Amino acid sequence: MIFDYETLRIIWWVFLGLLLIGFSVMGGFDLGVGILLPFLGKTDTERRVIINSIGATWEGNQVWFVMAGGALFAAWPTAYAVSFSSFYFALLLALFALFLRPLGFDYRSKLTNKKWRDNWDRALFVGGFVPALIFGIAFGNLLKGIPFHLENDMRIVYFGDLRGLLNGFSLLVGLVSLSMFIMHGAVYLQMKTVGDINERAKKMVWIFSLSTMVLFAIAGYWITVLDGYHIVSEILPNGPSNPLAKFVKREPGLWLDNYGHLPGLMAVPVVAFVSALFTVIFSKFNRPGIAFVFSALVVTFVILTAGCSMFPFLIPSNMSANSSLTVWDASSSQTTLHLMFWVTIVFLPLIAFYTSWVFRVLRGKVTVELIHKNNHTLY
Amino acid sequence: MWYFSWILGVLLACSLGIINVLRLEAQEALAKENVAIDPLTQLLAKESLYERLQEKVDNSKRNGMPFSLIYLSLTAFKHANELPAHEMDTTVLDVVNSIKTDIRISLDIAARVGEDDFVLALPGASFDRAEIIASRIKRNILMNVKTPSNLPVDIKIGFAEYSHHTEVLSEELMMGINEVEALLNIAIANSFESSLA
Amino acid sequence: MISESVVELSRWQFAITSLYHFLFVPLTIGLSVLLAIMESTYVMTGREVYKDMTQFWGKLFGINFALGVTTGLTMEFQFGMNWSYFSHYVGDVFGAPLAIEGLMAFFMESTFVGLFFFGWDKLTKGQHLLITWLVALGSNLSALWILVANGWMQNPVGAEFNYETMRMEVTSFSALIFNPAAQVKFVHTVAAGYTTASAFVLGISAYYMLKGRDAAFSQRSYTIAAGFGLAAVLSVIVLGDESGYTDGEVQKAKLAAIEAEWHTEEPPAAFTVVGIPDQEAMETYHAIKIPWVLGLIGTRSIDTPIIGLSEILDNNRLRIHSGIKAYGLLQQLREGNRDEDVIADFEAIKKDLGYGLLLKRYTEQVVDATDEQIEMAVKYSIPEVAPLFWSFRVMVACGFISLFVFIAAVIVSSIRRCRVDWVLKLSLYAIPLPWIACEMGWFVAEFGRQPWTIAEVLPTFLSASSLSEWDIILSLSGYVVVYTIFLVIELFLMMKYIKLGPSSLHKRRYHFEVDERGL
Repeated sequence: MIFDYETLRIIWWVFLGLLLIGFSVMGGFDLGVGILLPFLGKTDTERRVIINSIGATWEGNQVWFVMAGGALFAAWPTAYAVSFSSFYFALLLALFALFLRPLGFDYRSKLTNKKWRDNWDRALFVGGFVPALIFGIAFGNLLKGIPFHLENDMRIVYFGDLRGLLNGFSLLVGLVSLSMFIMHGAVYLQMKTVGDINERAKKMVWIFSLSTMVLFAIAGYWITVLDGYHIVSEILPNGPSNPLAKFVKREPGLWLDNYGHLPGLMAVPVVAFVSALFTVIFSKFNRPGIAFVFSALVVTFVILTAGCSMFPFLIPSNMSANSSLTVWDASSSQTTLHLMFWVTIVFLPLIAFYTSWVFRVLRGKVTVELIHKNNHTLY
Repeated sequence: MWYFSWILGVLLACSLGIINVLRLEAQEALAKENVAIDPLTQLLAKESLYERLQEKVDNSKRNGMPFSLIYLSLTAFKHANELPAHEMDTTVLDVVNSIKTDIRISLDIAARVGEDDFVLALPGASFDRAEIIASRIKRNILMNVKTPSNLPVDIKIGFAEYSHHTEVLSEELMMGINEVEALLNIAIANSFESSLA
Repeated sequence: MISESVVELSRWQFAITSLYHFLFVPLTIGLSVLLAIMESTYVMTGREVYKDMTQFWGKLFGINFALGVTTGLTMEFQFGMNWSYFSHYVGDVFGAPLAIEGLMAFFMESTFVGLFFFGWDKLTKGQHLLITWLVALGSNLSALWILVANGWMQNPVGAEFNYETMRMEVTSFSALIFNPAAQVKFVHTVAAGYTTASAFVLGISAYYMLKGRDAAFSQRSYTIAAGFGLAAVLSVIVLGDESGYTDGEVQKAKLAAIEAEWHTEEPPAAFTVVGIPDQEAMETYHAIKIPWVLGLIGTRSIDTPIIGLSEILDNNRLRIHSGIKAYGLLQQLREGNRDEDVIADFEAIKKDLGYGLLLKRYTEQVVDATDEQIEMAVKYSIPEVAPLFWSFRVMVACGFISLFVFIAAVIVSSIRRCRVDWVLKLSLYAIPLPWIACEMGWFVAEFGRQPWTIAEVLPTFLSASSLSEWDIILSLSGYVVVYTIFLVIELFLMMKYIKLGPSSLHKRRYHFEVDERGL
């Protein structure tokens, strides 16, 4: 065991963030493309172009999402249990929307019937829109804290409902996430298509980069007045994971605490803004590849902002603050974190390697001619 | 340990599947080599024809698709013009080439059943389609193929369709003749009776 | 305490969603390997027909794979959504194999499956073949890790209870990975997947041959499936036997329940082929028994007895008493008592804590349990015998019938053109058998572990999330409705493509395209 418990916990907080960011960067543009599908594709062939731009790679990208859930379960099991049981209906909605994607991609073009294809296009839209929105709503609620309580035997009792989750701030964060995924998807489409679709995508990049910046700014201002959380009892970063052994205070504006301690952190939201600007600039100058890098940075730094604001809290409870789950008391045992660290260190680079190889093999534009040539083999 | 045994087991199972199918390939290759071929034209010889036609008939029964035979004869032409043997050989080859270019598929069932008689199988062809093809073959040979002594070749051509509704077929079947024979008989009979243009 | 109806509904939902998921998984596991075999033959011989086979069966694989992924998402979510106490209590142990499943298997499988479908023109023969093998490896490895997790639920080795965190924590990962229950389950389950896929390809190829279609294509598919499938079904049966033997060592109550061994018999015990088990009377009526068989295959000896249920119940009673003490000590520890003796006493008997938890069903305090309540807990501590007894026998019957089918298929595939009609018909009708066996098998595995989610550690009724009845009624109905619609759509598409056969590849050399063969 070469790391102490405290270091492992921080490493795993970083890894969790990495996986969430990984999903947002890799899977986010797939969601965005799904949302843009009915609007950027006016004919059946155009829609097939859009679908095939992500057809071969969307499934691999979705695994980042599955992985984030799996890593949450493995490294932060109590947080996994609290978040998944509390967000029950929101997750159910997201799940049902996600169901539509594998079927939509594989089944849509297998029949030539127009109604069949139109309905699956609608399904793919829903499959992008709903998860993108709920992802943000979930994050928003984490920042606000959710009404749960841990009993003495660690049984989780949740006192909220779906309506409670749809509060103002969370809906705003939902719109931020929706907007940034659409921007990201639009840049990807600009990269992979030509002609009309390319032009339409460029317009979308403009619109949604702007909206992301505006909404992110509003959310940023709102956070300054939102209730934040802070641990007031002694923190034992190497102690066993017992969330019931601490005291937490809750006050407006506490989420800015970390920025006070580490002023360098202010750079994080700034990078997000600047990246959004560069995304638009490079898109306008027809360098979508570079624009894509910047749009990925937008996604990354928006999520990092949320994470940095909340650290060390993972899931604050606005009902029973002492039950809040933090990095120091919701993690798995040192043994598990240690093993999972090594497994991750070995496999993540490998995954990055073969994923980039696959994208390289599939590089190049998807055009209307390509669809016609491969009418029966492409989606 | 079971994890190792899984790796071994999968490799074994995959090998079994591959070996089984490679054996099938070898079997088929052997069967192909052993098939009797007419040396001059490289078409099937009479014995192989019967085997193959029986399979086609069986298949037709299962999938309900029609299947036709064409019978071609140069015998009458040869006798009428008293052509010597070596001339006939060349003529026969030319006729076969003409058929091959005409029907653009590889003739997997085309046989030389007599010195100057041939049988072609047309899987999937109905009676009408067979008629069209037979006419075309005869016309093309008449127009394009000449003997060494520059005579246009006029062949006798007849055809028959296998379908289990064919009444004539069932008459012959009742007499104990098998389907393939019966079909051939009909095609041969047609070649004398018909006056295809 | 969670209401019993919430627990029951949660159980129904998990059962339905996982049985549904497992309609698609075995085909994915097995067909991916069959595709790799077909493509290997293509690369080895260079004959186009094998490429066509890979692409056609690959289309069917894709239709099936989509629903496998869809229903798999549900499973990942469901542990946290509906079984949150379980997720907290054992997440330290259980979460790791699931995460490794994602890193090692899902990424590989999902990343390369796209290239499998779309990379034919962009890769060399060798590269594409490698991709197909990696997809197969990925799907098989995901079975490995999920079964390491499930194996731990059946036989929780390598972990211990920590009173400070109120959960099970890992003590040895190698014990977890090399858990005999996990190992045998893994090999048995993937073998079942291979059998399922082979039966699928076998039966559909037989259909084409019965219809006199695409002879060269279907013969070769049949032949590969027959060879691979025979090896698979033999393995699955042998490994089934091995599973039984492992149960005899680490899950005695499950084995006794499956075989309706009410009392410990004089070894070697007789095997009950059929009968009517009665849980109240602890007897099997109208039993037809074969002497010696159970003892021989279950213990592989003639003098080791198979422990009967009544003996197990007596043992459980003792453990429940010990568990009550453990619970009492735990309460003290949770209240802050850190006296050395208390800690030592607890550590000594904490392995019986699970049995103490069984009493929570009757009294929240546990330590105040009456003798009557203890007796109820004892009765509750073993699974219901009759459903297990029958589902196990159905599974085994399906297995042996499939064995016969594959033997016949291998023999027939060596006769030129496989023209033995009754075997072809049998191959066609035998397609559902492995599916039935797979579902029965999972039922035996999970129902046989009741009343525990983690055997002898955490009872099922404590593992569920504290949701309301309506929450689950809504989600359960949602799943049922949505899944049924999806299944109808999937079957419709599958049937359509099966009927089209390889002509759906539009290569202009198969049945519906070539009725006139260019004439």
